Amino acid sequence: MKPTWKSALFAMAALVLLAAPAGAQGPDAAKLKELTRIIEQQQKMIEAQARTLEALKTQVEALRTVTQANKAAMTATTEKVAKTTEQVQQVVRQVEQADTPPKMVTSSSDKVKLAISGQVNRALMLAGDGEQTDLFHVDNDHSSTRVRFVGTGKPNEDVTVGAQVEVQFESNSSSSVDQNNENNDVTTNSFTERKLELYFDHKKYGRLWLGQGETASDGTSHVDLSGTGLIAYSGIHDLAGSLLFRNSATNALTAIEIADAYDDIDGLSRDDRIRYDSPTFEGFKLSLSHVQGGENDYALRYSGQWGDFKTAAAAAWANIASTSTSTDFQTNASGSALHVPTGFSLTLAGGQAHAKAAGRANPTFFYGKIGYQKKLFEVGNSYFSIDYGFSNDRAQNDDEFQTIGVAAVQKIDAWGTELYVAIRNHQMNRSGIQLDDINVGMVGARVKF
Amino acid sequence: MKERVTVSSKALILMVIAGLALSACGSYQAFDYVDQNESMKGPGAFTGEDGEWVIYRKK
Repeated sequence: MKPTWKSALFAMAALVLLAAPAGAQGPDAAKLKELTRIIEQQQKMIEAQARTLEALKTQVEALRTVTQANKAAMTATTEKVAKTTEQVQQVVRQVEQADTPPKMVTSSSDKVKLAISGQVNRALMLAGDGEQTDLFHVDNDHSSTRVRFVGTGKPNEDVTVGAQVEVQFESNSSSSVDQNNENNDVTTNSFTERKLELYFDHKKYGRLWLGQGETASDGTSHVDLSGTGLIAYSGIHDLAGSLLFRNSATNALTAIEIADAYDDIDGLSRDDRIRYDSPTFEGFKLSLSHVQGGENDYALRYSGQWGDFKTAAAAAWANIASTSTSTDFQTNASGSALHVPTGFSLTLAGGQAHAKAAGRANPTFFYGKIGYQKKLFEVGNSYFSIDYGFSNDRAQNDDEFQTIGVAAVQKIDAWGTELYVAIRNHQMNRSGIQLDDINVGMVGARVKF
Repeated sequence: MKERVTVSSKALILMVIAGLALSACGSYQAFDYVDQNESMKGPGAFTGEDGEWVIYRKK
């Protein structure tokens, strides 16, 4: 049996009694009584403290149980999270290994790209020839409806290999309809070629093209920073090139088309060729090409920004003697400058074709445009222009043609859309015949995919 | 018959010189000219900023 506080106190009390003198009865008895009372009081306190201690012990035990339960729950949760994480990582690894969902197009090479793009460009064209007015539903030939596939590969940092297939589908091309042919019958109602080509590009040595595509001189009359080229540029015969002038005296349609009266002498267009482009040096680039049939051409292009002015220009020389019955060679150039802070631009183009036949005058053309662009609306930039052009001796000596037009284009960036409207007057003078002017208005939209 | 309009080569040369003089007014910065009638650059209605769908995959 273990000694307790109670037994210890009784022992102390007994010792006190034994140690007391035998004769001490009166005051000693009272003292003893008092001590006994104190001892009993202390004993009660000790018992109360023991009970409190016991209660605390019980609480500690309960807390220990709860803690152990929480610890077990936490361990289970941690294990669950770890398992879920492992599952997610496994899925990520599977996706990374597969790289694509199973139904997507894949390539065996990680250095290739195939891009698909396209546009639809439709318009209403109202044309008056002095006698009758016609409304045409057309495809705007300034920038026809088309689709493009471009594939590129990059074997190393310096070399890029590319291939391009671009075809257009013009239902009622604006440059092909006329007063006698207002519907699809006038053009090939199918896809027609634009670019079917490949190229090899080296950062230091330039680019070599092979196939059907832009010749070196193509586009050298069309440099234009006005933003309205979609509906008005130096190739004004794209608007309504096949419309026929009417004889003022007889009111009969002649066989003289707008495209007979005006040509922008824009190089050799697109054709089957081999072409080389030099690398760009300080904004300059040289191009040359050899075209099916023996034609060849050379072009120099420039673009750069000087202070507040964005500038671009091009000039070309083309030998077409081998395929043309009327022309030996032709020269042309165009340039455009945009003052960025104000939005005003100036565009000029000109060219001359050297006739083969003795006594035949050399056909020439000139084109000038003043443009203005500003973000008037939140949806996108607005573009405006007024232009003037003329062509002399185009179809025969002493032919004179003049044109003036105004145009506006509104971009809607969020829709990939450009809305446009233009009005153009065409005048033709030919010896021995009086011709009515042709006035054309066009309103339409180009939507890029 | 209306009076014939012509532009002499001298006038064209003067315009080129004027353009070059204009260009010399500031410091040069590279700028890539893109023919807007030929370019397929965006934004496109469905393709977004780039104007093209790009399929770029490795096995």
